[in-house]
Amino acid sequence: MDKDRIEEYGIRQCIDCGKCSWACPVSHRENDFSPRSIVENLLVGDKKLLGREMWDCVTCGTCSALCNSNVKFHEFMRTVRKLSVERASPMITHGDIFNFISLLSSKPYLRPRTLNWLSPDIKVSEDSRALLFVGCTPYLNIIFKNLNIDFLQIPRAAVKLLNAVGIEPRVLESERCCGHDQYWLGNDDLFIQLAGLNLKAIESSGAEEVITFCPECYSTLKFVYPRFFGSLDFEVRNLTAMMGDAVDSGVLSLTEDSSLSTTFHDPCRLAKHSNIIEEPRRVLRAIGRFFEMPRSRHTSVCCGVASWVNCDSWTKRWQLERIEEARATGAGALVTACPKCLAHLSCAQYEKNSCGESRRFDIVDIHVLAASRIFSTE
Amino acid sequence: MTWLPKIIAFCCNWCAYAGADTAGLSRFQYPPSIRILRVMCTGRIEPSMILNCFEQGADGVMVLGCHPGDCHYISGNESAKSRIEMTLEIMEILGIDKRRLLLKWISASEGALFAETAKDFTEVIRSLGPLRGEPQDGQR
Repeated sequence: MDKDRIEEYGIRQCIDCGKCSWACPVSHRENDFSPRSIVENLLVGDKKLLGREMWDCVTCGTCSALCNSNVKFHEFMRTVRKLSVERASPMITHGDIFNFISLLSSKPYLRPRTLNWLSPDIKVSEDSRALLFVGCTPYLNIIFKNLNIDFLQIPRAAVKLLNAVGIEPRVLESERCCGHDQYWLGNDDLFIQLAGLNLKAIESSGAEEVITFCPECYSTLKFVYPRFFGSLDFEVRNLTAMMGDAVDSGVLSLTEDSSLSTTFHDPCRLAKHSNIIEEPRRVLRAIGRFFEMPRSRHTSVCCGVASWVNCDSWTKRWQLERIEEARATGAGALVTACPKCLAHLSCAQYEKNSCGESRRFDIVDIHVLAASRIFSTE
Repeated sequence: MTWLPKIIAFCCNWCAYAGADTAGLSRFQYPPSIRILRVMCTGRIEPSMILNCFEQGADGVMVLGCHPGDCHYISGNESAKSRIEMTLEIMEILGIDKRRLLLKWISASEGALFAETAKDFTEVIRSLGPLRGEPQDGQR
């Protein structure tokens, strides 16, 4: 084990306070898993580190967000995966299809066509300074067809919201996976290949800012790309944050409906990795009543399946608990800002209902919800 | 030299694989571009297995199974059909021509149909060219 490389995340600064293990959603479920003891085991040279717990971590970043000593546990875990990738394999979901989508996306001889979601009611422009990065949402729409969710509504809603604040974004004709999952699986070579192709496409388009609605694309483009490629020639912005600011400054008017009540599930990449916490709440408060869940903001739980690893009955229970937590607030709908959280939480409910349960709880995407409330004078 | 595509044929053990056997026993000729992979049922084939073939260098993939209603496992071929439809949609977004994937029902007695399918599909792939870009001079 290359200790120097993993110690750069500050693991020696751990003061053994246990906050990380208190907050870690995996520790809540699995007695054996504890960020603190993993760090301790590594420092005393215990080889147990190379076992399953390496893949049990959901890399949500709750531990790091609460750490007094600034230990970057989730980054440390990623590096452990990278260094041990040949020694243990993760439990991959959906027959590894997302990995093959990433792999084929990285082939320069293929030209992906990801614009199947465009519709005539939204305006995109070929020479805008802003570019909308769509990510893997079109694939989710195919793979999760059984959930009866139109994932393509999300990019459409994103353009509608941008149109409402006077931006007609451009879209890449041939866009590839941002590489988020490969980065967190420790698969750096494939990540660099994907990121390189995306950067080339964005830079040759001449866009000055890249807007993403997916928190994973945002955190990857904004924080991870510069780590590998140096500072970028363009600015990266998150649409949820932009909407929050636009609602505050009065640029974006949303119609309020007093019968609408919501609660917000913070996606890990948005709240804990990117510190975008208040903005989505501002949007939700502008359109109706807002209720907070007990586990929210920096202590929000992950949807359970990060980078398509470990989707099992254990994770499903975790997701169903989250839905019950949302229902208990008295809100009428659970809102999230991440397409993957939407898929995972909806899937848990779908499976539960297929076992004879009939109670359904609305799980919606914040962009779709906000786009349906755009104030129009027409 | 003529370029010969690489084609993977997933054959169901009970029908299409036996169909390929019948083609061999009956001395029906078909191109050597076909690499047969026997699976117990086409219902076992996942979209990722097909994408894996393309990733590993296949120019085309055939999934050959029992006729509807004849499945040894009752409805495996129906599952295969819906998964192939999903794979075709994914291929379209990835920029892989949908004609590079074929689903066909071939029974154990249809040796001639197996040979004919192999020939026709090879021609389709030959007309599309290699998946990894244009063939080198004189390949086609």
